[in-house]
Amino acid sequence: MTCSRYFFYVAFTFILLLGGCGTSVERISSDSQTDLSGSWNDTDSRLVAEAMIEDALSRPWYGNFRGQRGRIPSVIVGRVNNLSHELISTRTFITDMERSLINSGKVTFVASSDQRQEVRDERLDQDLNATEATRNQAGQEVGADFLMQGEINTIIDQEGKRAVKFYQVDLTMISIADNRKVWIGQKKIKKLVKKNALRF
Amino acid sequence: MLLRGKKTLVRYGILLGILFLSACIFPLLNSSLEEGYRAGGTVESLREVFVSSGGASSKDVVFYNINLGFFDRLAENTEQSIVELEVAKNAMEEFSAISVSGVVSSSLINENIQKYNGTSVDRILVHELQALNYLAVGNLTNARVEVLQADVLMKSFKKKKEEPGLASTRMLGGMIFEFIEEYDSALISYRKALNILDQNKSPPPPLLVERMVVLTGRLGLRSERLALQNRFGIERQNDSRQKLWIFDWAGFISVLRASKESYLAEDGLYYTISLPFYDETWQKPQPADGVDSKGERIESALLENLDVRVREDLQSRRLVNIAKAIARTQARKALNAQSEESSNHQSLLNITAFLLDIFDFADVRSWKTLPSEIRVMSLADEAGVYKVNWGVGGFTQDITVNEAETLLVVLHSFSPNPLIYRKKLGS
Repeated sequence: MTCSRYFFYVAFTFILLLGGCGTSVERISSDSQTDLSGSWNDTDSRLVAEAMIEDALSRPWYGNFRGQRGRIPSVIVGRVNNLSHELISTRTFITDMERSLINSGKVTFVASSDQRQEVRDERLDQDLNATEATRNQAGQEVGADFLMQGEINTIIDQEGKRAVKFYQVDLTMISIADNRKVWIGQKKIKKLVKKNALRF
Repeated sequence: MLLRGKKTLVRYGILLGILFLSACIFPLLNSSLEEGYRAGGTVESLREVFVSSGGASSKDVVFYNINLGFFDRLAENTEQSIVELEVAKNAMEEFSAISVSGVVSSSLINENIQKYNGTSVDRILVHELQALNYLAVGNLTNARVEVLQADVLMKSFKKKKEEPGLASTRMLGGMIFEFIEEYDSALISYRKALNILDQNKSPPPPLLVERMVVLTGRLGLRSERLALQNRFGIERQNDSRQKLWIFDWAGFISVLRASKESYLAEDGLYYTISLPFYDETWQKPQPADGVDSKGERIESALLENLDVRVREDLQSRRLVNIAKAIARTQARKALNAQSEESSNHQSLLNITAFLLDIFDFADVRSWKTLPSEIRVMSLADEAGVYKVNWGVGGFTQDITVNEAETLLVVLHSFSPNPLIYRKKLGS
């Protein structure tokens, strides 16, 4: 077979192969670990939230509070700033932290400021429209004892098709009574991402 | 007999495949945006013309979305523009890997078969435009992310230049850091912008110098501040509580065209090939202007000459384009030689070679909606109302600066809708 003929046959084969490529969908478990692009994903969010909340609740501040007050603390999750190189949904991360806190059973979890405002609007509406027996009165809110807030940072080191992505999540627990920082937690994730030099 | 029939079937199949592909390889309509605008087009109508001219195929997802994203930015369909530019960014990342099938196909037909991946200028500017989109919707966090992503990308180009990247992207990055009150990061961005301008032998605009002098003073970098003051002959200045920064995306980028040129190859033969080119000269845009707080008329100063940048970019790819075009022509020549030697299906091979010849177009896809120049100026250091004039159509707008406010205003030559982002900053 001459070179040019071989070349044509190869090109034609590629055309046929490309025509066979379509979209496929596969359902997978929501807690399965899937890493596609090397960017921050749901697995990172869940694992970091679980690890950091577990660390926070195992530290001395918790035992000290219970000893002094005789009850479990109430916690609110505040702002988590995204200072990274990626468009990270901090809301998803906050939700993962809230879930870990509640499921631990070790703290009382209080609604965030956005959620509280909606609840207060509903209470006001009940004041005007609901029966006395079913009405929830104002002034009965549980105040939070501690505020958790933090930030996500990244360092990217890239050379050609390889990149090392370093994520650092820093969280702080602050006493609302006196602004003391009672806990500082940190979780690091490092990923080596290799992109294909070739594609078909 | 059966074997000859099968061979014939394969060859006809190849011809049909080439004809099928030929439907995808005609270069897109290449009219100038400026021509369309001067003919009375608006942002919306020019957008519709672009959409209906083609380019919506998956092959041209980058080309389609960067241009459409720009139109939607100007038409204030910001959320739509964000989606389109994000698609373009992801596609650029994916297409940065070499396509084996694309290389094989384009080595025979033309470069238009390959998916358009954007030039290095495109890849940086998409972050700059996306940062502006996020400012338009008040999302400073995501605008900061775009600045950081652009920084990573520009560092990856370091092999070509000592300080790679675009001064406009660095300067916008500095302004975004100032909005977040990260003054050290802002100064670093401004330094990089100045390095790029020095590398390009372009004088820095007064606004860049002013920000560097202010921030070096703020951060206690006395020697650097004095060096800047000596170099540019300006006095030390305190930062005013009110600021009006204007980005002027002026004019229209040149159109990338195709021409036939003859080159002598290593085999001693001359080959006529189709190559992309920009005209050697282009029309300078009309800069925006306004009256500052002292009553003086101020004109925007040049920060980035995109017409020069895209020409540099094309020039850096010229040798590769020539080599690829000559290789294609040599492949077709071999096909012709094959058809003359072979007594079977000679006409079929001749037709194939003929079709490949007429379908050999240069790749003239580019980001057509870019401005010719990006210029900047500062107007306000007091609260008040400032009139700004810009654009080919003579647009004008009064912009109000309130107490303790810093405003970033982005103008474009063919849009009457400026992007205005305002924030009250601390001390």
